[in-house]
Amino acid sequence: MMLGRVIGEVWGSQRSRQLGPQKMLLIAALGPPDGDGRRRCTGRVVVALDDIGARAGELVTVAWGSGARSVFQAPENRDVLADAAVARIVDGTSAGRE
Amino acid sequence: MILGTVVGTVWATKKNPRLENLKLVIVRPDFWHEPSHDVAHLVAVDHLEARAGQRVVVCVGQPGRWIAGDPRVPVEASVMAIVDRVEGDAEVAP
Repeated sequence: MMLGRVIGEVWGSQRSRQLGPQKMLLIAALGPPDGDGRRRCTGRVVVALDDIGARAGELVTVAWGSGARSVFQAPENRDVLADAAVARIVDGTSAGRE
Repeated sequence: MILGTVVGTVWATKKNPRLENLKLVIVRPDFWHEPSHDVAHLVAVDHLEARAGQRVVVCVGQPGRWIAGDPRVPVEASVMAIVDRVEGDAEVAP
């Protein structure tokens, strides 16, 4: 899983049936805390499915790869094809200030 | 998934039989999330008839392989959506 910050949303009316009905969020990957304890964006951005309602600016964890579909409710998730999904909205971490 | 722009199409006469009837497009990624994948272009399976210049969302890796319903298809990237609009940080969402 990766720690990231929601920076936007992607809309597409033409989408694969296998993508699922979830929202697509733009999420910037965050690096380790620097000297003053803040995490900065690494410049890498991923599009992740979201069904828990994460909003812009919020810190989230993102599940990767073939495990991403496990974030969603079974058995509907069996048909979902996605390599990234928002797993939880983070309140805080002990390794650095957000 | 990653956000990218379709820049072209790939045709091939001689190809793996499992690639028959699959349309392949060339996508220039706007961002990457895996350093190991950090290449300038990506060839992805496209079922949505994406055209050059359109922005798309591409699923990579094993989930991208299942798009054709057969895990033995030798691909690892699929176009999942054609983007209408991106809203967010102006610096990363042109």
